[in-house]
Amino acid sequence: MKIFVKDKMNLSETEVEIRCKERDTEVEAVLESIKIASDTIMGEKENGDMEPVRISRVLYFEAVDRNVFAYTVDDFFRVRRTLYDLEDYLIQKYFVRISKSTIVNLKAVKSVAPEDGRRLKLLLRNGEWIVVSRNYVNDFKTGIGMKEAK
Amino acid sequence: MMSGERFKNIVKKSFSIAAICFSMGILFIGIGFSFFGIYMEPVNIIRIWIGFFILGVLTVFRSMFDYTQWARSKPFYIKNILFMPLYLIVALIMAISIVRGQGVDMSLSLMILYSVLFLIFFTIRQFIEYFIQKAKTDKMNDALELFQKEHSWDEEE
Repeated sequence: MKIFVKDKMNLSETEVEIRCKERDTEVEAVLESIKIASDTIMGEKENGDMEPVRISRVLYFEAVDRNVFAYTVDDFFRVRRTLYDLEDYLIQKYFVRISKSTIVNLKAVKSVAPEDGRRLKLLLRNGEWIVVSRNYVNDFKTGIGMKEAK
Repeated sequence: MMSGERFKNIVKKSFSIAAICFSMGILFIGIGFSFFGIYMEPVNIIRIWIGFFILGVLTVFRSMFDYTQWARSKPFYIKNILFMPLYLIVALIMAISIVRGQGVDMSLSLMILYSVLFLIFFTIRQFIEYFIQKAKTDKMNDALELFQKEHSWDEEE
């Protein structure tokens, strides 16, 4: 297999084109690797080790003080991005902002329950509860298809 | 994760609520006292201030308690029913000390009776409120179920 990498400064995002005779197992493996790479973000563990984190496995992103953390079912990672940066990108991956400091993966929500003050709370796949602020309830409803997006 | 910034926000918010309640309380007490033409002892203002300060501290604890996973896993009426008697006790102590400070004798048993009645109505209202909200979230759970059928978490695993 030949691999060519060309730098093009005018591209807005990286493009990958695969030219093959047929879609055999090798091509499928390359496709899978590319898919994983595009669904990955670098996360820093508590001990400082850097590790790629699959975005689809992240339950939610939370801003705590000046850091952003990504929580998976059994671990959490510090992400060197702001929630604002992440938000546009994550919307395509079925994430939605539920408070000033939290963006949740809608696929990771098990159920919804009422909370005081016209808020909601969400039960996640790891058994954790997180709260949807009153101002973001409509965004959550839009995310799960209960309301039309404005 | 409870951060320092979040704790600061909780303290700010709780004491802002207490400050608003204090100013409204002073206003209503002032109106009430002027209506009946009673002179208010200056020490009562300090008592009211202390009462609202304690309510502010209680609100900080309540907000921190709300943040625990145990509290989040329970329906909201449980937290409200747990904390309301504490708020009521502080308010009652404050009211009794003000009224006694004015030299007025009041029936303690009557006050306890009114408090118990208040708590019963408050509890019933909490249940009604919860079941109204629950009906709304049941619809959201249906929508979520449809969403999950199209975009399953398991297939990502």
